[in-house]
Amino acid sequence: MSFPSRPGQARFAPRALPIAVAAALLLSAAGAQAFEFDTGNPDLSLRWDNTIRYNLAGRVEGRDSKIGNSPLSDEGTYSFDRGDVVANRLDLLSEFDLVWKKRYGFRVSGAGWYDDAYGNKGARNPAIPFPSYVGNNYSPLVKRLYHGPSGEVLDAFVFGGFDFGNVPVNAKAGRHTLYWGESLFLGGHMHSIAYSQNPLDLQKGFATPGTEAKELFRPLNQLSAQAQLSDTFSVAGQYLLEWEPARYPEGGTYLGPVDFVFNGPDGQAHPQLGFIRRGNPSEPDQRGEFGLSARWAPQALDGTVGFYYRRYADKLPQTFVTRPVPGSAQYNLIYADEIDLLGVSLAKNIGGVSMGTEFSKRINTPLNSVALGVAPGLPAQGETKGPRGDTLHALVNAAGVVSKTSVFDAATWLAELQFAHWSKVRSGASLFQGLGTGFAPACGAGKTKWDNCTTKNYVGTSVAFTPTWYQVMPGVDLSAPLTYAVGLYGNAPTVFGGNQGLGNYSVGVSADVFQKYRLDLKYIDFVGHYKDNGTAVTVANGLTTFLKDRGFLSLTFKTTF
Amino acid sequence: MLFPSRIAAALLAATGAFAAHAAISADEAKALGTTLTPIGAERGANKDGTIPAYTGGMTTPPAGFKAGDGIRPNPFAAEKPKFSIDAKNMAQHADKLTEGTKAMLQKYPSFRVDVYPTQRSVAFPKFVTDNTVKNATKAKTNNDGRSMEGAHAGFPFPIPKTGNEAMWNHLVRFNGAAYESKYRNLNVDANGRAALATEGNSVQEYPFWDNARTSADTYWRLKLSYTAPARRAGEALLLVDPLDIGTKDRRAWSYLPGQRRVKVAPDLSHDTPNPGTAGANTFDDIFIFNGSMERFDFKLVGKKEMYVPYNAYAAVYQSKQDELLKPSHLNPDLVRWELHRVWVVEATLKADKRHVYSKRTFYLDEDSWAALASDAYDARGQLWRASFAYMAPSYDLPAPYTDMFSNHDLVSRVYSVTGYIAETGGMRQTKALPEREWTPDALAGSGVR
Repeated sequence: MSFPSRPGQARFAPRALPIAVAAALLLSAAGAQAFEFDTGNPDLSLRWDNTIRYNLAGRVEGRDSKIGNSPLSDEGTYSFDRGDVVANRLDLLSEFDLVWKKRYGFRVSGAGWYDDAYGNKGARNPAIPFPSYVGNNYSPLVKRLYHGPSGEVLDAFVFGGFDFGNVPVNAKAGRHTLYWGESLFLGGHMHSIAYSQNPLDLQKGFATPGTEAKELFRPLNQLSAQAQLSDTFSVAGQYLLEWEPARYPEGGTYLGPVDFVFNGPDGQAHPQLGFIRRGNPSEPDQRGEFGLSARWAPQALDGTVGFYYRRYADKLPQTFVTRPVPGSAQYNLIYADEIDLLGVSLAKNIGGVSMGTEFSKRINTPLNSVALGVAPGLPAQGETKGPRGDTLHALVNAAGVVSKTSVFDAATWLAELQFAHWSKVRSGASLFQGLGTGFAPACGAGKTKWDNCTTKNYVGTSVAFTPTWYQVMPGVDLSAPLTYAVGLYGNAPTVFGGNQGLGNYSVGVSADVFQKYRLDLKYIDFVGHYKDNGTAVTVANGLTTFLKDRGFLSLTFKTTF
Repeated sequence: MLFPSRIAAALLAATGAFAAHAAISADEAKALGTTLTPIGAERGANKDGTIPAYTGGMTTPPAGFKAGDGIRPNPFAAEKPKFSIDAKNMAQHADKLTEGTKAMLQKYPSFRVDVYPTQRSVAFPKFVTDNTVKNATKAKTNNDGRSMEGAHAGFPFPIPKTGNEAMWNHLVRFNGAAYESKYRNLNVDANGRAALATEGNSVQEYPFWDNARTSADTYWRLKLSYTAPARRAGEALLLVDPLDIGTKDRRAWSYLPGQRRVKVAPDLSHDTPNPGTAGANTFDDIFIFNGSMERFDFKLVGKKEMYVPYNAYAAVYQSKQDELLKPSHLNPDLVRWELHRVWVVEATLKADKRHVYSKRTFYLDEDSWAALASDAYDARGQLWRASFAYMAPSYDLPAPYTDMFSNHDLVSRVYSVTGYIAETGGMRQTKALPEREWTPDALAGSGVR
């Protein structure tokens, strides 16, 4: 592929190269072995691991003028042109663990990044007034998260194991992630027992579809414990001391689907209100979320059944205009709390295939709302003037391995089916983006599910298939990871829950060299349906529909030492 | 799908369509402890005098062994090879070499078999030999040889009548009831470059050998926590093999770092490539053979005198990784081979089953029942992989120990070594963990990453 140069934008040769060289130097300086300290004391284990990832990506697909002509979505697609380098990014993940007697210790991890593809300025369709960033200057948050160099602490917790009588209890205190239930993919996570258990890193999730769930969760400060009450029964609990929203693909960046979201942009051009300024988000209490789970694995079942109750605050927002006054209009991201979730899960090996299934009910959960709908005045903390109600969610997934065939040496596959249903609207019905009468007028008479209106039921799926060829040359294993996620039927009732025809896919090859260096080349694109008026998008069935002209080729080099 | 066929099998078993294999008569069992050793080996020397009579094995550690230490000094360090076999003189030893050994001698000019005096060093605690004699008249296989019952804390079939019975002796082989090690799995590519596939801490238990119980449903279980390569540090695996593996099958779970949860693992058995060796062997290549026997017919061919790795302390405990791993094979200077009587078991793929191997020959040590070598053939019947386990008995217990093994791919010229512990503190016998520490959720609770 080639990256034709364009004034004012990153070009491959002059700017990507120094970063690649810097990455290579860092690696060679790092030496060969993982850093496990020889403490000379068998009770004390110390390890320090560092992962370096270098990502170079270029836009392959040309701009869709209808996306570029919509004031809601022009900046994302104008941020880079076809052929531009859209990521020239170096990421560092550093992890340090200290473990005493295999039961006590602490863990700290942190990440750092720098992306030369981003500068201080965004871009926009010159025909559209009022960019989301005043003067096209990216806000400090976007500069920090996208351009850097910057960094952050991720995990930071202490842990210990104790025996109460003969019941072993493991406890953790500090910033860490916990993930309950059986979901496998991002699409499944949105309908899982673990929904909003951790803030998602969607900035990463969008840049690399098919990213494993483990890379998508951001830790929160909390207390958690697990007790193995018998050899078939265990209980666990968590109490949150911190709340954080998801990390988003910000508006006006390459994978920012619409320009006014989320925490980066200064505002949004609006046909009636002119420029609406983004106000501070309405965030819930930092403390008070909690969850309880019980897991039971009786011999007769030959599997594990789990029961869950969580009371949580949403980590994904509703977005309303809270001050509909031309000239001083304002919108805010609004996060509701005190959502109850009841869930049950089952995990079982059936004929050599790992099967997982979940069923959960959310009570008083925020529902899909009219984006930038008018709801004057900020709600009280943890509340929303938007729609809330009750929903049901289910998923079933399977994971398997395939032994050598004439085509490949081995393969792994994962598949998940997701289901959602709304049963009740408790409040804010006039802002509910639900198909039918009595809800938002945008989904009233004559509207269909293709107008981004929530249907009673939703079905979606995600699949991944990775064939592998061992030792294609000495020391090199090759694989071809394929992923696809799409909404099959209807539009889900909860935020980012999925829409019919909305999805993404990735096709790639991956080389694993000496079990140490990993090189990935992937083509990634998004799919979705929109309606237009001949020149611009009028309705997109799902937020990431606006990314369907963003197909890009991504080369990643990664190693841990 | 395996599921329906398993239901069918259960139904057939219930109606008695699969006859359970009966134990031997009390009369036949009288040979144990007389002409045979208590665990079923021939007590006497061979005709040529190249295999000595069994005199109880080695039961006292050599000077230099510190009680509780994981590294075991080589008690035979002073011995010199009697002779060497290489490509040039292999013809005169051909009847005592496995097909895999012969192929490696022909293929790799640097490969050599150094033959040392035979030392029948394997020994067992008294409960093992006592229980073996008791089991001999009670143990039986069922489910067409795939499950086993009626035996505990002793070898089930000291006088095997079928291939499945001999393989059961190997599957439950005695290494001690509970032990742990920090191990490395290494792959050596066709260019001779060694790469660390995985390193981890392993805890293994054989509840089958827990003499404090009267029976156990699980014969073997394993907990692995990976420490390297760094990108896999924090992953963990729990694996459980029941005695009734013919109907219950293996169960496995993996712990996922970053999520701190445990998921049921898909089929980690049969010919699934082993991610612990980055695919260089299959799951049932582990320990030469492990897991369910459902895909093959196992035929007991008989006993043979063969050169096999034995008393390989130098390779297992004293070697340096860089000196041991030579291109295409282990450093011949560090591998001790001896002449031993082995049971030969031939496994042929069942007509209605799939596996990357069409045929396998296993060589089981008469003194320990541990498989010490195998030849594996591909679908066209061509010899594909040669495997060897490196016997180094734990004289301190006493017990055999064969957890280090290598699988050599004769087509790709890649080989892998699993269970290398010489540079990571060796293997220590431990106390069994409480039952509740062997659950998937306990694995989740104890995760750090």
